[in-house]
Amino acid sequence: MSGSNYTIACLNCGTVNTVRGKAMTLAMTCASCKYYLRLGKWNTDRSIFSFKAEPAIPLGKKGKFDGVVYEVMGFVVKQETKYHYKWREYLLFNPMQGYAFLAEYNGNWNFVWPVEHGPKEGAPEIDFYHEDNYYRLYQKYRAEVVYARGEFFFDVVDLGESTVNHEYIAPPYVYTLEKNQDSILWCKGEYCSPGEIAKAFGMPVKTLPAKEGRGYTQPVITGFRAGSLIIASLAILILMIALQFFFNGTAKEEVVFSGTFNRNELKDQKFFVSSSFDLKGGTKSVEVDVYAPLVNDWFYADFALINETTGMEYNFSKDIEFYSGYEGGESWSEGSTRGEAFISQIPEGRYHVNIYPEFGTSNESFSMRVTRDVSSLSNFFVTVLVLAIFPAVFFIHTHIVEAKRWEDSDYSPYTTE
Amino acid sequence: MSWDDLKGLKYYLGFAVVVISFYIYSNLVGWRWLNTTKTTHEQGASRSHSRGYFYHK
Repeated sequence: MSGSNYTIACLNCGTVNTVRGKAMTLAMTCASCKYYLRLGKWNTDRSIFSFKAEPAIPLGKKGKFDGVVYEVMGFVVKQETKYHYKWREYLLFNPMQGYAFLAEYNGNWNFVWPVEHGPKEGAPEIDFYHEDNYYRLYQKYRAEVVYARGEFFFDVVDLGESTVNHEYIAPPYVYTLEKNQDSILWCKGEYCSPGEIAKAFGMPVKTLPAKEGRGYTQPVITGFRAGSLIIASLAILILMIALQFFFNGTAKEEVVFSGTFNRNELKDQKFFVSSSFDLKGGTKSVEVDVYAPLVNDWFYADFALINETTGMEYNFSKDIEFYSGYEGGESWSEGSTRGEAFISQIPEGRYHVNIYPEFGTSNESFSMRVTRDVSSLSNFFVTVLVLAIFPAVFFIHTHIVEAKRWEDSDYSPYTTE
Repeated sequence: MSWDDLKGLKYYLGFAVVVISFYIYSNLVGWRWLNTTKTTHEQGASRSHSRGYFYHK
């Protein structure tokens, strides 16, 4: 090494390099010949990197993350030693905050910073809870640096080759653990979209690597957590149950007419007419219950609920039948002697019912009861079903996306092997 | 659940408010959405016509 504390003349090409990180910089590459060197001694064992790469974010570029301005100090390309896939890391530096990283793979970015206290002691084998998030081990690997450029606060080449890396994810967060014989370094990271990276550095997003697929820490959806959707859905369900109890409890279910009609009283008339009754309390429902003492017989009737003031008719029909017998040593029956008709939204007023009956073979009578303001469960179930569509679609979609995300992991919880 | 989560869920919560309001309105006016009873409405005959066949029970 030669020159002042903050410049280094490259022994390979003689170029004098300015050290921006000053005393913190422990390794760097020559700006001219790209030779990798450690401060204090030359790296005589390593020639220039055979792999070539260009950083998408230029060295020296400044970007703002959470209000803190970082400068890009170094750029490395790492290669996983087992599957040989490569990714890129940018070393960032702020004099007050220290250093941080940007990691990019297939156009998906993570902003990563070291944390003083790791979420767990040692290296968790599979997963752990931390800060309300459930972190699962996504990958465990060794990596080598195949290209480096710029300045580094550690020997990025030797450190990379001697460490085992663990990555635990709880999208959009990731905890990384770099462990070797001497030390353990925990870092926390968070997914960043290409747009956020471009905005942070004030550069066009099209200059960044094209995004391919979903990042391994990319959340399924931004804006809320799955747990919050569960809480919101449960709160809505509880509200719905409370509302249904309220409507059940406040429904008057007032019997406004009840009577029995005999066939022989019909004489030459074609229909019966009930006595008049008042429906009160505004617009409410009406339920008409019909009973006929049927024995292997049927009964059918057309009904007209008539508002005596306006003349408005609400027409409906009811068909009931009941059959029973004894066959093969077993008794059987089908149908019912009762039937009900529900009429929605009947305004208050004075009403009567015209009944046009058709009797079967032996039945001679039937009864009718009219009840005002009857509660209904069907609206409750329809409402709950409609409100459940979004959470259901969300969690199905989440399951599919998560299964896809973990396809690249050796520790997928979605495989059944 | 944080404020950010609530903001993220605003469209779902807004949708829920609309659906639940419709449910409340329907229950207040006795409107059953899935009604197996087929009902037709018509402006019927005069009151005197009906009374002509009035049968009290």
